[in-house]
Order: sequence, then structure tokens, then C-alpha cells
Amino acid sequence: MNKIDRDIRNALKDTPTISPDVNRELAQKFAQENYQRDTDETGETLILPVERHRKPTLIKRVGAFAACFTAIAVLGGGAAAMSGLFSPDNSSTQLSADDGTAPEEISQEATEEFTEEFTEETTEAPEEEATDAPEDDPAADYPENTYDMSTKEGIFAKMLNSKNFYDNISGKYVTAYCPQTTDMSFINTYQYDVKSGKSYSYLSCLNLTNSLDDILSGSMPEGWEGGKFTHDESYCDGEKCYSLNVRGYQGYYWLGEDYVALPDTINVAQLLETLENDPVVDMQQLGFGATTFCSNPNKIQLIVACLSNFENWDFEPTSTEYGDAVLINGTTVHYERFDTPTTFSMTVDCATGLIISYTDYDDQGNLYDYLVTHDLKINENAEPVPEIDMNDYVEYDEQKHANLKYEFKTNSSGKTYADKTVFGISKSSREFLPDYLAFGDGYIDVDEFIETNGDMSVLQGNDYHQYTEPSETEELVYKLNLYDCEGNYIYSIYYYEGYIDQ
Amino acid sequence: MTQDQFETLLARHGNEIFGFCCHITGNRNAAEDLYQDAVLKAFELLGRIDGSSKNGLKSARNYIIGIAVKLNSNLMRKKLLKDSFFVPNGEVLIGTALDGSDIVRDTERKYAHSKLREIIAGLPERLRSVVYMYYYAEMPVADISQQLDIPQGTVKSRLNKARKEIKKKMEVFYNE
Repeated sequence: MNKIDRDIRNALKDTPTISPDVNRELAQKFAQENYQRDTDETGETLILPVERHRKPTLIKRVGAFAACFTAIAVLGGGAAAMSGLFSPDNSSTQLSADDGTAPEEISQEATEEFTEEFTEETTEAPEEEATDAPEDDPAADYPENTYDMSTKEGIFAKMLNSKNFYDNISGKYVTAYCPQTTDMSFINTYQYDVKSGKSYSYLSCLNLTNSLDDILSGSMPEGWEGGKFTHDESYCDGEKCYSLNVRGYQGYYWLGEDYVALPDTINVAQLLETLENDPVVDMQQLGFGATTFCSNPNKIQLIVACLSNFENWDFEPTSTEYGDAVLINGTTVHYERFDTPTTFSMTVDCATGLIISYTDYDDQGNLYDYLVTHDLKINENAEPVPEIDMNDYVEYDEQKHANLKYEFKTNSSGKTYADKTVFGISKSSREFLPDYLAFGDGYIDVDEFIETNGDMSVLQGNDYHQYTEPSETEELVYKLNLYDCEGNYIYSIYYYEGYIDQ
Repeated sequence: MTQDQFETLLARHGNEIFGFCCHITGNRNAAEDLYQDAVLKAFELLGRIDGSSKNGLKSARNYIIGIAVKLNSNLMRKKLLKDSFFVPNGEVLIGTALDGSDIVRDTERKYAHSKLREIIAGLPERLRSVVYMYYYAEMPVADISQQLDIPQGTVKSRLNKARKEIKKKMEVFYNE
């Protein structure tokens, strides 16, 4: 562990203990809250709050959501239940009415306000519009979305529901976090088939010859893509979604339960009302964390953060290589990603509502984040989702994996070494790793690596882009000593580990 | 998670969660409120917490910490928190609360630790939260990522950025 890590840990370990008064007060609150308890089929306790001191509307909806979530899980519907935020065809709405905890009615004033705000004529509608909603359906209180790209409401709604405007889509976007250099830029390549629910995506790194100016202008030279990071590969077969080669273990998958559901149409008025009533509710609770993967390359959180306050942004018509677009400039509002107002600029494709380019800046005016779309193709022009045979993969199980025994070679000193480069290295995996592991032209000392990097880093074979020089992002570039299999030092290299922001 | 499991969770990890709240709010009174709010919110969502797995209690603890971060984030936005973790004369409230403990005896070291806490408390919220989650709550990056609903890479980036910032400011402190 580095000195700074030790110092931080030591400095933070001194904390007061909780006062008995706090626990007493908490116990009183539990009693006062008058929680109703019920038990579902699995024996799990369901808590349905009936009296809360917080604003009631959302809390009750969340309570209903919690109940729905469990009920849906029992029925095998998985993450398809995403509260009442989505269009009336969402099965969760029916469930929320059935569980006896239907959301409290929206006030008359609120209804009028939203109705007034969203009464512009819809000029472009998704294929499957919601029809008559049941009387007890909370979504029925909300006006339908407009998708008119000459209005703010339309732009916001279309971006959130862009998947309604194509069946197949493929493309790439380059994105980065704190991109003072291009070292932390990544390419996300994706192919989505919205109708079948199949999708495939992976991350790769940039060829370092690209400058930030190149990236932002979209004028990338031939060969701009560098190596692919095999551990950041995802595949959905229409029913289930998998992380492939999880943690760098080739041939293993992780089932991503959260990614099963395809998103329904997001009702903008209801979304805004929900955010207004209880900002405590995070995107995951709203279902966005679970529903953006399979079909919508737009970043829902980003859109909400940038555009949910219509007073904070303006737009004007423009065009891109893909056709008509709008240029939006504004200041962000919501969520932890932007703890202070951040200025942003984005270009949005009118036909699909997809973000073509995006930049934001910190309070000093430095470029903080960006996203640039490339090779966007829709419908018949889109690259097809590859067929991946999941029989070629084995489910990764952390517990079982830790007990897997590999046959290692032994050097003259009795130390073990392996030529495979499929191992992920971390403290938790140390017990089943050899002493030396092949990397580049030699071997790395596993203990040395863990000692140097701890849990901060996982080295996964030769797939990482390697540098010959340390980069500006020194914290993400690690020096590795290479040895021969006998443990004799050969030379040192730098390797780079970078990440993508959402 | 059952109610019994929830009670066990609080008995076993309540102090850690409360300590986390102290760090993140920098104020004991605010920490007590935050702790109660986070626990109540978690109790409300009890059906969604898996208490049966091997690391069920630890995961549930992390879940509540995640709730505390989000609640605190919203409180800060509402500017409800005005008091500082550090009183004007530099006396650290948390030190007062720990009077009698044998954790930090050396004055110089104690002062350095105070300074370090002050620097951490002064970090932007998005960095501060991951620092407390990683270093104080000792949550793995994957858990922080899950609780904050951000990619693991973002967590790591923030940790790295925070460390860099802390390191830089501590160097200035040592050179003074």
C-alpha cells in the first residue's frame, strides 16, 4: 500500500461511536412510522410504508415499486417492472394497482401544470403508442410525450426515447473522463437490435496518435482504433445479457440480471414530476440503470442531468453528417455526477434523438468530459449483432473460481509460473495464481504487482495497451518489472489502465 | 432481508455506518440525522436487500452507505448543512468525540491526520464520497460502483484524482 493510501486510511479510522440516544430515537421512529409488514411467497418481509414525513407521492410510489419488484421477480419478469414511469403498457403499472398501495393522486394543480406544459401537438410518434389506460393507472395522469424537435419538450422526450425511432442501430462513440490528454479516451462500439433485444458492445482504446482536437472534431485518421479490451465485452441474446470474459478470465461470463429488460417509453411529464417530488430517488431506482443497455446508446443520466430543467438550456438548428440536428448549450442540473453546475454543449440528431457530440467543462472552463459519435448507422444500414454461442462460455462463479486449480510450471527456485495470460490479478485472486505470470516479453511478479497496486488495479493479460513512456495520467499508468521465468529481472515497462465514464 | 437480519446488521455495522456519516457530513448532529434517514430508507426498501448471501450483511451495510451518500448529496444541494466538521480554531470535533481513545497519541501525527481530514473534507463531493467509501468503509471499487451507480472506472478515476489532490495539498502542508 502506498504511503498516501496508508495515511488516508489512518486519518479516517478515528470516528465517534453512535450514541445510544440515536438508536433510541431511531427505534421510536420505526414505531411511529407505523410500517405495515407482509410476507411474500419467498418468506421475505415486504415493508409498505403508510405514513411518512417526507413528501408522500413518490415515497408511496417507491413503496409500490419495491413491492412490484419483488412480485415481478417471483413471476420471473425480472427487471421489467420499472415503476409507473413508463408508458401504460408496462405491466408494473397493473401490479402497482393490484398490490393495494396505489400511488397517491397527483394534486389538481400539478396535473394542470403538466398538462399545460405538454399539450403541444405530437408531430412524430413512436410506432407503438399507448392506448387507453386503465382508470387506476397512475400513468394515465400524465400527458403523452411530444417528439417535436423544434420544442424543448420534444427534444428531451425524443432523446430519452430514442430507441423508438429505429429498429437496428450500430455505431461507436469516443468518450473520456477528465480528458486533459487523450490517454483516457475510449471507444465504445455497439450493435443493437431493438426488436429482438439482441445487442453486442465492447470497449477499445484509441491509437495514441490521435489528438484531442482530432477526437472532438470527429476527423479521425485511418487506424484510429487501438486494441480491444476483452474484459469489457457485453452480449445480449434477446433474453439475457452477459458480460463476457469477465474480469479478464477468457471464456467466462457473468449474467447481468439488471440488463434483461428492454426499456419502455419514458413518460417525460411523469419523470419530471418524480424528480421534483423526491430527488432522493436515484436513477437506478427509476429503472434507468437497468434499461439503457440493450437498445439505447444515449446516456439517460446525462440527458436528465443536462436537460431536465428547461430553463437551463437553449437550442438552435444545425446539421451533421447524419442530417438535421439541434445544437444545445446549457448548464447541468441533476445528480451526483454534476455536484456543481457544469456548462455543456451537445449536438443531437433530429431523426433519432441520438447525441452526436457532447462536451462539458468544469468551473475553470477546462474540458471535463466528451462524447463523439462515429459510424452511426440505423435500420438496414446498421451492422448486425454478431451471433455468439454462449455454449462456448462458462458461468463465472467467484466462489468456485477461487478454488480452480491450474497446473503451473515450477522454476529451479521452486517458484511457480504460468504462460497463460488469462488471469485477473487482485488480492482476492492471489491464492490461485502462480508466483510469476506471463506478460509482454517476460513475466511479472504477482506479489510485487499486488503490493504495488493493491485492489486498485487488475491486470488482465496482454490486452491492455502498453506504453513505452509514462503518460500524463500517471496515476493510471503503472510500471511493471519484467522477469524471466527464473525470476531474473529483464527490464521494466509501463502499462496503462483506463476507464470509461457513463 | 428479514427484519431480524436488519437488526443484526445494525448491531454489527451500525457504528461503521454512523462513522461514515460523520465523515461525509463533517458534523455530528448532521451525521445522526443522516444515519437515521439512511437506515429508515433502507428499512423501507428491506425487501430489496439480499441478506442471505455469504456477504449479505456487508453488502447491506454498503447499500445503506450508498443511500447515505445520496441523501447527503441532496441535503448539500439544499444547503441544509452549514456547520463544518472543523471548528474555526482548528479543533477537530471528531477528535473531541474520541477523547480517551488510544488511536492517535502523537501530537504531530494527530495534527497531520487532522490536516488530512480537513483536505479530504474540502474535496468536491464526488471525490470525497468515494474516498470515504474506499478508505473508511473499505468498500471494494465494485461495490462503490454499484452503490453510486457509476462505472468502476469512474470510481477508480475519482479515487486517483482525489489521491493526487490530497497528495499535492499534503506536500504543501509539510513544506509550510
